[in-house]
Amino acid sequence: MPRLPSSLLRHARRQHPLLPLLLRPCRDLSSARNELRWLREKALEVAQTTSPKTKWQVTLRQSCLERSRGMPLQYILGTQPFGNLEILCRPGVLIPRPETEAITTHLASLLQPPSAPTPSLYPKRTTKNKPLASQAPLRILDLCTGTGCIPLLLHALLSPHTPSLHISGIDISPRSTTLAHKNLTHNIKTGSLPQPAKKQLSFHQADIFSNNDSAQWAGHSTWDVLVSNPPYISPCAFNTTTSRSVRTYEPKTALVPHVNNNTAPPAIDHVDADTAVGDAFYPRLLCIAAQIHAKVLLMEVADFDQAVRVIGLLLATRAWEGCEIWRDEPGARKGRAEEEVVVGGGGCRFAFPSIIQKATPAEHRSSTLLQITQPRIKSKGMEANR
Amino acid sequence: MFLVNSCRTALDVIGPTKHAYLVLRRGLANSNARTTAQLPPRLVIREEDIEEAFLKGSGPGGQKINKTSSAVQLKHIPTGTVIKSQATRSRSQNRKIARRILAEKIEEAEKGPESRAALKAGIKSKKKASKSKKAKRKYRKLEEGKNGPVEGKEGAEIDEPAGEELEEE
Repeated sequence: MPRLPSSLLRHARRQHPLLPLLLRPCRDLSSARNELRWLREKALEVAQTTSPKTKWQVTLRQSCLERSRGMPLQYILGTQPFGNLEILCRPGVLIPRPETEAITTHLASLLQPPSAPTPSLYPKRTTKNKPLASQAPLRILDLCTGTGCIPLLLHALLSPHTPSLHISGIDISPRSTTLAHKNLTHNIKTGSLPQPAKKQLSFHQADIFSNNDSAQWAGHSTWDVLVSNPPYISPCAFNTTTSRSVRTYEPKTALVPHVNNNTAPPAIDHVDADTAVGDAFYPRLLCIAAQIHAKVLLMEVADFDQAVRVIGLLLATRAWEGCEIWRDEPGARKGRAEEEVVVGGGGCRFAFPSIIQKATPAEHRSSTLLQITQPRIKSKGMEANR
Repeated sequence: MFLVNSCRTALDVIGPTKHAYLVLRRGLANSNARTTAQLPPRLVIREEDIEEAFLKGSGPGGQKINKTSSAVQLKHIPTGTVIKSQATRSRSQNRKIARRILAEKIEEAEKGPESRAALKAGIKSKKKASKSKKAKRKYRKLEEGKNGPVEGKEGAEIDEPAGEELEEE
């Protein structure tokens, strides 16, 4: 990271004495100014409500010092906007990312019932002529849920058109399930989520690699949709390409797969041990997707290369009909022509719509790429709509 | 002016002109008919005409980095106008705000003095002029009352210093 020029620091100090502190994490003046504005609002709010004895200026200075050391803004402010929701953030639980917001929103738009004008992945029901409310609920399972942001946002986006929902979030960390419950209550209280959400959303603590814990999701045998943003960073990438703030302040268990006898990934050709650790969750996710007979599977991956490796795993199962890679902003206006990429070397071709650039091996800049897949047609009644 | 500002916020939130009109009337009971004239509805821009650029820095993304802001940049393709909004931490809010500002700018460019923004500014300055006129009138009367026959109102003495200040303006 290049040093901040002293002229910039001087310029910042002239505008506000605390700005230079914020320049350290923000690196540019306009971001620093924005963060100062938000920290100031928070300090004023705290002074009015919780600790009237402490002057807001003291709170503000304290917050700026913490921020300058790299503490994530979301932990200082305690919240992160996510769609129209406000997600509470606490140390020990991963902060929701904007990429996750984008793909969750896009998934929700694809899951709208068939009557909607856009193409739909809504699972076909045999009771097609019954009103939606009396049909079996749309069941969505989110693994490694963290703050619970994905289930909460899916509910907010789907419930207007899909009154019958059942969404469940699983995480290995008890801090996460506590926070997810808090987020559910908080967003119902603020009115961002409807009252029925209390009954339609649930969060449980479980280890997805443990067959004992599988009762959490295998209790009711089938789920329509499986979503996951699992830990996907390899140990080496954690040390080299992950930002210092994330490394120092966010929970490592949410970022780097913990490998033991249960989770040890199968050896794949041409993949070194370090990379294999980063991929460790995906075989397990595919296995669970098969167990629960999911019709739609959405997973976040680190970059294009990892996406290609995961597609390789998918092909090996021979259970999935189609696959897409979404990059950055799925659902945005499609400007560029489709590109074809060969995967698996066996003549399998996938057309990737728009905004995809082929990443060269040296390039780690590609942000989050995602996949959505549909199962092969197993029986006539289970065909997913497109 | 607080009422006008809250009406403006209500307009942003409520949207439909019919509702906004009702809010305006309640707040301006004493104004003349011209200032309560209905503002034209907001210009609605077609989504096909907007190109949204998602400002992504270089470097890794996803779990590897925690971004704190989500700037939204909109480009109106027919006119080439570009709006960038970084007002809030919420990307969905920034998108709404950017679309609203874009609509205002496009309308201003199209209609000029007839645009919503110009009309709003016109109404605001008219009200301000009318308010200062009334205030001047009031203090002038009190001055004349003070110099002429005694009115017997206790308030006249208290108002004297204020009246002198205004005279100097």
